[in-house]
Amino acid sequence: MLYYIIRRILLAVPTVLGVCIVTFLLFNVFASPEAVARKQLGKNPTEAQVKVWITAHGMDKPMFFNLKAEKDGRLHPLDSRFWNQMKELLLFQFPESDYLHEKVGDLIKEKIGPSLTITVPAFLLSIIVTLPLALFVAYYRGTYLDKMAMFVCVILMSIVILVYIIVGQYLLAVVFKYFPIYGYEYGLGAWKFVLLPIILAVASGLGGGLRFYRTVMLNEVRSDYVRTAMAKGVSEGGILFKHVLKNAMIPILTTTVLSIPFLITGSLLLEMYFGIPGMGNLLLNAINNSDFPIIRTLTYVYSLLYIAGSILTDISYTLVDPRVILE
Amino acid sequence: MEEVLTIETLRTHFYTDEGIARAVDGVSLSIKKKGTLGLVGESGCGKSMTALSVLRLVPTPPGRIVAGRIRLAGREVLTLSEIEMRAIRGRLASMIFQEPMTSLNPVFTIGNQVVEAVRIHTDMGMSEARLVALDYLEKVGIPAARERMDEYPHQLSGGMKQRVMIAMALCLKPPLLIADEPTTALDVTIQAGILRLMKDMQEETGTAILLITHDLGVIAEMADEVAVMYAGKVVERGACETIFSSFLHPYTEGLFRSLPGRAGKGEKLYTIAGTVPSALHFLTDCCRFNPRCPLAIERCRVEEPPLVDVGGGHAAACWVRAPGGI
Amino acid sequence: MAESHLKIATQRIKKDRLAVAGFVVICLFALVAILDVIPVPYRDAGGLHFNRTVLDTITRKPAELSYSPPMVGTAELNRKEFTLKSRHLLGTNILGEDVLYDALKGVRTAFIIGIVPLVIAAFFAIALGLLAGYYGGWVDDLIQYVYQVLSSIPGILLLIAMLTVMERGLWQLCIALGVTSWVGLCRLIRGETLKVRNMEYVEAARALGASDARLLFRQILPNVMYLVVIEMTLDFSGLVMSEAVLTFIGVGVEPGTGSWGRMILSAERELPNGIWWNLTGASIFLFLLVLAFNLFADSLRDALDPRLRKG
Repeated sequence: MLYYIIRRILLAVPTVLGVCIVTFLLFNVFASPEAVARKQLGKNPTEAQVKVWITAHGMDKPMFFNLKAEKDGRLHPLDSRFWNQMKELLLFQFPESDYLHEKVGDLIKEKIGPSLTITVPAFLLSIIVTLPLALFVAYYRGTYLDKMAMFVCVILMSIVILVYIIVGQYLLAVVFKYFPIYGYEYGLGAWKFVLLPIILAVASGLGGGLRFYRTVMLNEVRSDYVRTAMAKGVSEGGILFKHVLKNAMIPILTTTVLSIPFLITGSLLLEMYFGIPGMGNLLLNAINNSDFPIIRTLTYVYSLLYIAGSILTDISYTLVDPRVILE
Repeated sequence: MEEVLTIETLRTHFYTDEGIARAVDGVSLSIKKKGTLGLVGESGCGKSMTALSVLRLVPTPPGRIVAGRIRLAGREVLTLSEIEMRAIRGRLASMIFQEPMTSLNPVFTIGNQVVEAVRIHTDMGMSEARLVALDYLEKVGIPAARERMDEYPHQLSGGMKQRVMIAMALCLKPPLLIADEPTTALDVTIQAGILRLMKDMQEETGTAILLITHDLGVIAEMADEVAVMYAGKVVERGACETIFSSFLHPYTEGLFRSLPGRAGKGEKLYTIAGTVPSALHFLTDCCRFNPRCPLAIERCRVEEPPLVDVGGGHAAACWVRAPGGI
Repeated sequence: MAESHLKIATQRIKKDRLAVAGFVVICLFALVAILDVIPVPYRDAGGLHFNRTVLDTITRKPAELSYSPPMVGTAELNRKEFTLKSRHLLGTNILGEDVLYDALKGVRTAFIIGIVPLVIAAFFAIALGLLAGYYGGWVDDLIQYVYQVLSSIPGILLLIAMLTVMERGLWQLCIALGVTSWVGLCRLIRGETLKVRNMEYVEAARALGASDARLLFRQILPNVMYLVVIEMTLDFSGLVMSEAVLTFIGVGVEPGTGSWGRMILSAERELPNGIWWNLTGASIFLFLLVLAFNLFADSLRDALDPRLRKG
């Protein structure tokens, strides 16, 4: 198993390098250093200020290879924008944010906690709510109840998440005052601030999730082994809870485990709207401030998370499906 | 001798968007205790649906048993509630299917699945049920059964899987085993072994068999009695030897003549003219075979021939060959 | 493939009443979008102008002085006009602009966002998917590497990264969305090409001397198109919704473009003042179009599903 993980990680290296190259191209080739400097320096900076900023951020160095000798006559061919940025990312020596003047690494450490207080409970609550509902609907498949439930799901799916959040906050926090509108408290007091975001997160995903789980289960219900089980005299409940559920877990697990690493990234919208100082908020502010170091670093980090997620998913396959052997 | 299964004018219809498919349209047959009835016909003639009807496993949104009586081991199947049916399935009648590769649940061990069959219908505890399961797995010829009980279906070959199915079906010694094309999906070299196993197990457990197949060779091996189906109806039935030596119905004749062995060297293989009709478009008020029948007369086109007994338990539905009807 | 399967698919869809309703709604919206594309030139002191469309002529009302709830009559227009036309059916926003007009103007944007990115994505996906599936070997490996890298970067980040670098705008948004969403379709097409490549009719055509290009275009592509059609209709609603979200977080269309995202953005600020009708108007329009597409696309996918294709 360990051998497999190591192999997968090694195989992922070319992909990670590819990601770094793509992000580098995006941020350095398509945007000129002057434009970025001006954005960061606010109103009408002087030429000198722009130059100082550019040098300080290493944007005056050549793109890929530095073939100009330094003052002391030595050559540092890898002292270029590309290699400097690669070094930062690959060695996890994350740069400093243009706007916030803190190291991105420290920022990440600060912001992960609040994000997790929303995403983890939302994730668990989603599963706890959707799975039994899906089993229930699968039991009554084909009936009017089933059709109504699916129609309701499509309707729920057709409502933009924005509306869930705006209307949810307005009605429940502003009008009915069940929840605080905005803000965050570190430590145990956080729960009252995250309760509404969690509820809205689960509600907005309910339609799509229920439909997906139901589809997976009905797929299994149509298979031959269910017919055999019925011929043996297994009850409807036994078929769903024993035979179908275990088989349905295989595709359900793929999608669920894949999203686990992303619990760290936090929900952009929820954090923005409810003032939660998490990773999503970090990214959002970086966008508004054109804070490239943060966006660059986060892009890299999130890609690593995706790769980690897909390795985790493959491993979880072996735990649930006896037919799968790790090669 | 008492009969294990009696079916009287069974009609199972499917209500689809394109119309009503009368898959089983007035089928009557019976199987004696410990006997073997072979149900023969081409795909689409309704034989599988007849079998599924006995256990009321017909997919019920489009399908429905609309008429007839089914008496299984003394119980009137069509009057039972679903809970009573579940008590019967696997206990009074078991079924094995055509595709062993997909008929077993891939995420449970084969031991687990056989034990499940036992524990549904008895009060046995886990260890007792495992002993029964082990016993039957050995009987059906699974080598090193004790170890293999904890293996998963994908670790077994097709033939082995079918043996497991047979063990599962017979471990409670049901009076009837329904086998729907049990060897069709298997290698020819394996088929004989499975058939022999079924015969041996039949001796052992005293089970009657309803064997569904399109393969006359299998019939010859296994069946005491034969019923030939065409377009949702039984067109001929009788003892196996009788049917093989003196078939009457032109369709039965066509089936036999189509066997490759029958053609002499250099002769063209015989085929029955025309194609099998779809259950949505079965003809009514006539003999359903008449468009393809070389012997058809005027009466065949306007009046449906009844099954007429020609003696010795042999019956056929044909105006030309068995005219004895009204 | 095409004709008879299309007929069967149409028959199947006709039976699903919800899908038919969805299709009707889509057509109505499409009509509005078309009306918003046809220019109605007008002349004034400044010369000949082309920036007014048919839709404008029908529904544009002059702005009021401040906000007003639905169904209130306009102070500006002549009361002798057709009664409906003289009222703000859905009210006005805080700047006095008619909500119904704004919502209708957003329809064209929605269709652009729903279609253009997918056309771009389909272009890449078909080209690369066919090549990868057909030629295999290093071509396949290279293309797979490319889309593995791209799919490792979470879509939203790639999108944000691209949009931060480019200027904001509707067409930039379309390009960014197109470039970030071709991977899934490419995988599907590659898979299908692999399957079809080995089918007998392709072998037969090859045996008759057909060139690679001919095979790709006349034999394989038509059999892969149904995937593209299904994907495009399924993704339409997702794209329209993401425009709203992206505009809301600041990377969507630029101000001044009529879009439901912009409407929601400004409506959200007015909500605390008790002005609820512009948010409702925008949301309902968005919801109806998305729901219509969801219902129709589901039905279309089931109808074109090869597993459900019976003789």
